[in-house]
Amino acid sequence: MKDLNKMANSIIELVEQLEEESVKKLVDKALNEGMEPLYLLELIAEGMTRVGRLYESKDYYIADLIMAGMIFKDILAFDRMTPDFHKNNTGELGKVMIGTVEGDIHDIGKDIFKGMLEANGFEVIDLGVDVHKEVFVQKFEEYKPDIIGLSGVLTNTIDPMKDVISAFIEAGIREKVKFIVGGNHLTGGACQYIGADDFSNDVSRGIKVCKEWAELTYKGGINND
Amino acid sequence: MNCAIIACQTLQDELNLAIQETRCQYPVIWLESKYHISPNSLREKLQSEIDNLKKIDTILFAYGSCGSGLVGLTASTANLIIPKTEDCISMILSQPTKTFERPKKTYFITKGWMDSSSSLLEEYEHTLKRHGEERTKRIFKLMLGHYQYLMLIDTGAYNLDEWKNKAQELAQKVNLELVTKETSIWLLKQLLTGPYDENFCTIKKGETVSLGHFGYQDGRPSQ
Repeated sequence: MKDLNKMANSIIELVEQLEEESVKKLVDKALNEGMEPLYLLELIAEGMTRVGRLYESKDYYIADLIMAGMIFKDILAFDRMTPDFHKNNTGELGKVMIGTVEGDIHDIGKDIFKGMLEANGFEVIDLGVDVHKEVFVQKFEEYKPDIIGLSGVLTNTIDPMKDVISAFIEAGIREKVKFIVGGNHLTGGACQYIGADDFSNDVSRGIKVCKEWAELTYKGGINND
Repeated sequence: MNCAIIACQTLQDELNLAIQETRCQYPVIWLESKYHISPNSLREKLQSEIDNLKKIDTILFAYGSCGSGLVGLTASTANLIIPKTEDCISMILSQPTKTFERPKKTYFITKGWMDSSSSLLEEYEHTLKRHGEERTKRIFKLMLGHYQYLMLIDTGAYNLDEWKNKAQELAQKVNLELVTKETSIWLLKQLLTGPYDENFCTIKKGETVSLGHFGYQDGRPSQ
């Protein structure tokens, strides 16, 4: 147990230090010694949170954030992660549809959010980048997600995000889905203007919100038809 | 009227040219480019600068609201005048009386951006040094995978030919096609002289900057 605790701390630190190969070796060892995959992902997420703080304090660059995301994806792809991953990924927590809104082509944060959602038991439909409001409406009708995540890095994505929600109001389907908007520039005021149910400036908070919504109805999805 | 300017160092060439052409004599407080990375840090730093000013009636901001970093600022010591633009890209690319449309799949640079501490060039060099060539290729493919163009904005404030060569080198490194676009510093000049019309947010002393000041009212943004 002591060894696993020590390994856990080392995994967090190695992610923080962006030591890709060392992380992979230690994760391999940790899985061999019985560490639970979901717990492992929480350790990686903690390491990524630390990377995020180092970026905010200007010690790390955007490339380092991306490197952390790459490490996360590498670990998710481990063979021994996938049986548990699939076991968790029955989508029993609900279905989340995500996309970067029209006019924005950033997707790094969105992709990390997607990975964490899947690891936490959500089924995810990713619409990609520069997604027009009508596509969100069409794909909602096709996939019937419980939650829609709108991503945007640029400050001017506030209006495209609002346009998506307005399109849902116009189509008479706003009440059938929860909206979370994600991006560093977002504030409570922006969320209110957009008309979303919640917002997030970081992945961890976004996951927390989605899990809280999932707890509202633990069987049958979040928005019961 | 006593005015002071708070400016982002990225716009140094453009603002200095505007100051020269308008013969403006207001003092300038330059802030490092790095603050734009985190909207919260930017807001904190700007508020501190506002709070420390004395005997100033109006503070002019040579800033876009990058990451909504100016939303939430309190005009504690003076009135605030802020260009009504989402960021500095729209500030220098926009044209008078025309609605700004951001070119798609495009990464924007000027001499100021290339020179700054958080430039794409510095990002590339840091990545190469820290992570090596192979990982740099992977990282930049993820970072810029949806981009097609590197646009060098010709503001008239710096030697284009000299910086075009550097931009071309950078474009080759990050696998983008270099394009240039000529623009003008009309908005910065109007910031220094007025009038403070629909192109600007005016926040009176004692008020707080809100999204509403940037046109995000109920319904559509005001034009």
